Amino acid sequence: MVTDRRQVLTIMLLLLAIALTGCWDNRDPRNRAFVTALGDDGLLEVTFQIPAAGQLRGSAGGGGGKQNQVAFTTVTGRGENFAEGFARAQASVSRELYLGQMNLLVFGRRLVAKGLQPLTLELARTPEAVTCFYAMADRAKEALATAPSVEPVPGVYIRSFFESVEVRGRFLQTRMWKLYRGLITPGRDPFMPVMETTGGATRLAGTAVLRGDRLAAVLDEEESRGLAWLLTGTRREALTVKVGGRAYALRHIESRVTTRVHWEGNRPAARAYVRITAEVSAPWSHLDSETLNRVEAALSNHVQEEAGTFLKRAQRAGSDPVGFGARLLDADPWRWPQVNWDREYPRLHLDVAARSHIYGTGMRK
Amino acid sequence: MKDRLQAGDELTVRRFTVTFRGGERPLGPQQRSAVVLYLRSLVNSEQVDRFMLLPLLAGEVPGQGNLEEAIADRLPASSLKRTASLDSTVQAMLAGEAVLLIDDAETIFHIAAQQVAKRSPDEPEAERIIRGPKEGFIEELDANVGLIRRRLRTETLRVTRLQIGRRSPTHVALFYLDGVANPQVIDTVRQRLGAVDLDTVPNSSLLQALIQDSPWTLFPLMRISERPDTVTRELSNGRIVILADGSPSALLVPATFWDLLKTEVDYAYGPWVATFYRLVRFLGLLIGGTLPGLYIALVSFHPELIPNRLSLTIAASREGMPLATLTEMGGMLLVFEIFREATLRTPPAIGQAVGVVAGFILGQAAVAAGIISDIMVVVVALSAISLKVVPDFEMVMVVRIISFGGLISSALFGLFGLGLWGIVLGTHLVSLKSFGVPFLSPLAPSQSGGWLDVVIRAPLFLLRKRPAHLGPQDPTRLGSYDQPEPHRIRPGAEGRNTAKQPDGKKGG
Repeated sequence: MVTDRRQVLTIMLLLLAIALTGCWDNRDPRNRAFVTALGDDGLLEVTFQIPAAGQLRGSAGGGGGKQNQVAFTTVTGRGENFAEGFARAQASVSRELYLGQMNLLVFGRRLVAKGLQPLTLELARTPEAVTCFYAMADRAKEALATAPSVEPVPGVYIRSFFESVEVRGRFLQTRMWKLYRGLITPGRDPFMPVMETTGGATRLAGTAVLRGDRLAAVLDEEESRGLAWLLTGTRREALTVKVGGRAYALRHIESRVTTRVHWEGNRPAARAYVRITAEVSAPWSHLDSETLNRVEAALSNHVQEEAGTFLKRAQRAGSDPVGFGARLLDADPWRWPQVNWDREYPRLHLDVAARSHIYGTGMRK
Repeated sequence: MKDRLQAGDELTVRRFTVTFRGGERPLGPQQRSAVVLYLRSLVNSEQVDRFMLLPLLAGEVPGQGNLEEAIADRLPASSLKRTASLDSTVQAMLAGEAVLLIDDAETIFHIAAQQVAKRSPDEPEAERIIRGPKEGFIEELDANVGLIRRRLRTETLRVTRLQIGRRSPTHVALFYLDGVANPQVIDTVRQRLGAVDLDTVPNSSLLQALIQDSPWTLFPLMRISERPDTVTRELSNGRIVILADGSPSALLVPATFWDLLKTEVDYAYGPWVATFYRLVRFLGLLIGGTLPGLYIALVSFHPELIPNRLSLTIAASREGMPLATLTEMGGMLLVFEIFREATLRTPPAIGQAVGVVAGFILGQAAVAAGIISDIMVVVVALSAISLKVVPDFEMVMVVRIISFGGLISSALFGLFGLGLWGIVLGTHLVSLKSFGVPFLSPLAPSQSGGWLDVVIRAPLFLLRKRPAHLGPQDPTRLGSYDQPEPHRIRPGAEGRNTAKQPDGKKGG
């Protein structure tokens, strides 16, 4: 009896296995169109970037001649929503659009201005999109159609570009799942790096901050760095500070940020403490202790200024990407419901205290 | 006798007369007719002349009375045997002995005068090593027994000889170390060998098929070696060795899965080197067994698991290919097997040319013609080369078949199918036994300290015990071990003994 039941169970499990996966999932790479990037301009336009595998072969073969050849193509579909756009785009290619290798999601500016919500609700059901990098561009379709100079496929290019440490430190970028988290966390707004295509080249220029799911402001490079300081995204950033008419080149090593929220009377206020560690990269002659103190002070000032500039801009736009609100909610969950954060945030008393420590001065201890 | 043997011209018959002067009948010398018989192809006729004919023809045979005793005293061969039955005489002649029959006598005399073409004990092709003994077994059982005895000079080495073969009895020798090997296993081996009712035994591998525990399994449940040093090591580990006359392959039982991945070289080098190359062997086995299936599963079912650029490279190589991935892979693997068989059958002089045509020209041409993708060639070549690290040749072919199974299950169910295939194989492997010893022991079931000489090869001073899963009677192999004291030699102190005294402290 027991054996019978066991046998039945084994057979059932094996049959179940066939239901889990099967030959019908088998799709030869020849029949797949690997989507490396996806753009959505809102207004019913979805663009997919597909590498043309046959041409990649030529460029992978090395040698030369084909280096400048464009090895990708884009497909655009129009529809009421993402699913419809996808279906229409699919109808215009002979192969299955396969999102499993997708690297990058580009949101068109108009879409972000209108609000991300309908699209993100749809994308959240597309598991392939969860680990994608994302960015905002004036027009996603154009950004995706621009050929990069190094890689044959822009999606791959952007990914490696995003992953390079220097870029990460200057323009904070994150993966889609963090965007989703930013959208649903009270007291924290999402942000996205801004892609710019000028003269046939793609680069990152600034950061867009959102208020809720809508575009609030586009930060310039200095303000973007201010945001990076406060979110400890800064990495190996080259910094120059001037002390006594002399420029000192420093290289950022690491920073730590603590945010504290307190009440000033009935109103909340917040403070961010930034501790920066950097090393001297030039000049190579040694610093005396007095100069060192001045360089350290100058660096702290520099960070405070950049962070301050960013905060002012963000407050004006009403966007809180650092998450002071979330910090307040953590610290004082009982009082949070009484705070009208949208109204309170723009006039919040926010300041930044930076302290820096510099290594590699050439001084002996 | 002529009728029994039907050997025609081959049967040499020499008739002569023996003159016998007996003690009992003081009537003078008696004349008896005698005959020497042997098969010319098996017997060294010089020896027969020297040890059988010459002593009897040289003069009168003196004796105290009994003719048979007198003749036995006269024959100087140490191998002299006497029988009375015609059957055993025929058997002896077929085994290469010369037979003496005397008129009116009941006893038949034989002497061993075999002459067999022997080759020298060269190093076996399949088990070459760089460092260590270079001898191998040959096709002659006695020589092989000698090779083992020379290495194991102990009276506890037991050699039991059996005759197997209903039609053509073949000598089979069973070796074990008394007091070391497990008596139960010895009994089992003896019993199973005794039950073999085969008519001829041209090769010891036939015995393997008839006495192993699971006749239907894919895996070889015995280790085969042609090296006397390997056999000696395994005897001292408590294993039992079976050698058949006419075959240089020794069967080592009980064997485990891990034994099939061991080589003699493992013990020729230090533990780090040996462990590293053992791990390389495992890796090779894993790649050879799973890579074709894994490739199909990843490329056709789960391309999202492949790194970005690699997936584009694979997609680029698959572009415009006329065949489906599975057809391409299966076809390539089959073609590879055909090449392998073809080169095996080709004489070495042109084998190389065949190899070049097969490997380079066909592979290159097929890629250039756009029939198969270049990555596929890489995958198939890698899986084929990886398996070459496995020392046991039968195991290589077994893993090849396993990789085909993995290929099919991956093509049906993706990675899940590959996992399922792994589970099926794993379940089968744990159910196997070799003469009562679980095939995956000492890892499954695990035995404390057993892993020291399985996946890794621990330093020899840690391998003090014989493998416990073999159930040896005497578990200890290495008695006490003291790490040698470091000696310090002072430069400049000439002529004096500057070595540190053994009672000094360790270190320095």
